[in-house]
Amino acid sequence: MKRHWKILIVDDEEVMCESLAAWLREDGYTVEVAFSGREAVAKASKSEYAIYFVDLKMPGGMDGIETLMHIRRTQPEASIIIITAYATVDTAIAAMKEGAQEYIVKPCNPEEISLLVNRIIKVKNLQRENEILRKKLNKHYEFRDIVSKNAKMQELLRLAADVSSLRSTVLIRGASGTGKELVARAIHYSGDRAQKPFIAVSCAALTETLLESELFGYEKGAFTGASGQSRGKFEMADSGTLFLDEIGDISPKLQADLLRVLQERTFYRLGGHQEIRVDVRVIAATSVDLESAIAEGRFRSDLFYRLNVIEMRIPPLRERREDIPLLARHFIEKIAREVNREVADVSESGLRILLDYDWPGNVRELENAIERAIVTSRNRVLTDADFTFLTRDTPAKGSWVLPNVSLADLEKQAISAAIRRTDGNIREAAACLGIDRSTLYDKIRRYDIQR
Amino acid sequence: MTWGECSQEFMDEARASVADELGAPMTLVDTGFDSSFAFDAKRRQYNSGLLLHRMVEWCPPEADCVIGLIEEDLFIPMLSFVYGQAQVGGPCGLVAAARLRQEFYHMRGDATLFRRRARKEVLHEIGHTLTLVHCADPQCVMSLATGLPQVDRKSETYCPPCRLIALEQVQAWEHSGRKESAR
Repeated sequence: MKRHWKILIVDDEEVMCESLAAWLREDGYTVEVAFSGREAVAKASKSEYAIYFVDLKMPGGMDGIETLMHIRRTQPEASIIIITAYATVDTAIAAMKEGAQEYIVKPCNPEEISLLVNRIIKVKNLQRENEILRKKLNKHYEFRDIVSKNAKMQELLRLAADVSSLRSTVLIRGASGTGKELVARAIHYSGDRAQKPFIAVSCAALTETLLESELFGYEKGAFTGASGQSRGKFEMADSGTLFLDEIGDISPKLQADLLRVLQERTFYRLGGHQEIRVDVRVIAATSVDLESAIAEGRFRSDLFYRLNVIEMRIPPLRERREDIPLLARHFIEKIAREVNREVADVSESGLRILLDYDWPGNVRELENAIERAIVTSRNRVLTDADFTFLTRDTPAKGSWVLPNVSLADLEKQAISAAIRRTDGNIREAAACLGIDRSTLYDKIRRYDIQR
Repeated sequence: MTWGECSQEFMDEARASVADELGAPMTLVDTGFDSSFAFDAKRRQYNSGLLLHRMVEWCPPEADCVIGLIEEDLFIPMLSFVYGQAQVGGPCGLVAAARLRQEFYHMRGDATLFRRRARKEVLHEIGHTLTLVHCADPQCVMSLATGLPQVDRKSETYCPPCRLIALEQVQAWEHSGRKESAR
């Protein structure tokens, strides 16, 4: 375990550096030395060290505190130990204020330094272990994690299993909350690339320039604030899978860039001149009606055909109501364990409410509803009383009071509400409103409705 | 090799420990080297790094491993003292007797206890030259000791995994010499 961690000793006295390095090497650490603050900062910019021993007084214009400040700028996680021959309260306070983890006076007892290094490395080992376990816990998904007895879903899962080891691009379509990322992860973890990275990017969450640097990375100085080189998600996903969620929301420029990567399998980092070749399987997902977007000139048809090599449509929950009892019991088992509650099942009356509800937020909304019910319930079995928030939020038929507005305003509100409810899916919104898509587009334009 | 005059019991124990544990012959060389250049008058101790550096310069090509024995107290600038020092996977190591003796702590001398401690420290530093680093098993002679209670607690032998590595390395020396095996 120790060989993984590197230590840098910074002191202008060579004998001091070398002897401490030799002593720490006997303990199994990889130790390097630097004879000035500048050399230390240069080394820290090229390589990461778990612990820095930095002498407080060094000639050459960069003392220990200044060195510490420079290192912390690039490596905020590093543990820095300030060494001094003369302890004064002022320097100790200054060092600690700038983020030194410890302050030791030389010569110190071997036991003191051994305990200090062991303590820091123990914490770093635990942090690393925690990170790995968390990643495993969060990212390991299989087809058995997708609960369904619906025929369409079964067919979709069969197709997903069949294509899991291919490199072909997959386009997953479905409304928000239907589990598009879950399906993408299941495809990745069931195929040949399971041991390689699965990198997910939500295209809707970032602006065009941010998304561009996020996907392709950048070179130092590519733009203001690019203080170092950074690898993009395409590089991180090399030999694995890149999941591009909400692909319908990306800008025309990024559409062109993405098309190029899909065709050539190569790209350039922002500000870079070196062509980078990657082997990445792309799985894209969208809740937007891409055909309409193409018709309106908002989405490139050539990119659509590149992405849509294998298409999977996840039906909304209201179209697979037979899955509701199954999913409800699956979530009860999972969430009760997570929140440490002894809830074991859902009653017939509880299920009735769940089956009658429309689930505009799909499986995600069902999971949230179960969690809310488990947290607030005092019984081992969830009943209709635990799901009153679902019936309360849905206006009962016939009880709706018409607001005092014009017919045009009413129509505008109805259209806006339908678009919101369907997360901008025009086809679904048109179906909800009982009009065809072209009529809906016409009304959106006329009322200047934001989508 | 000895730095200055060393007690007979120290030299005997060093020779016996290597023969018993590693089955390798050890030759004692009186180099006549003077250690005073490494004496730090302010600390009244000898700089271990400087002595080790001189040993590396001197190290005869036919030697697989050179262990320096010194009666005086050693230090490295960062630490208040060291019992010894060695190059991990290199040919040279150094062991100081001063702090292994009860007399250093103003107690009555105990020759048996000193012999046991000296054996452990010689095997420990040789272990480093055989590529071993500190062992997590507190019973193993390669475990780190920063005080006498730890030295006295550990056994006078290598734990099975450390022993395996040490013997493999000794066999490699026998087969082709240090320089070849390092290559």
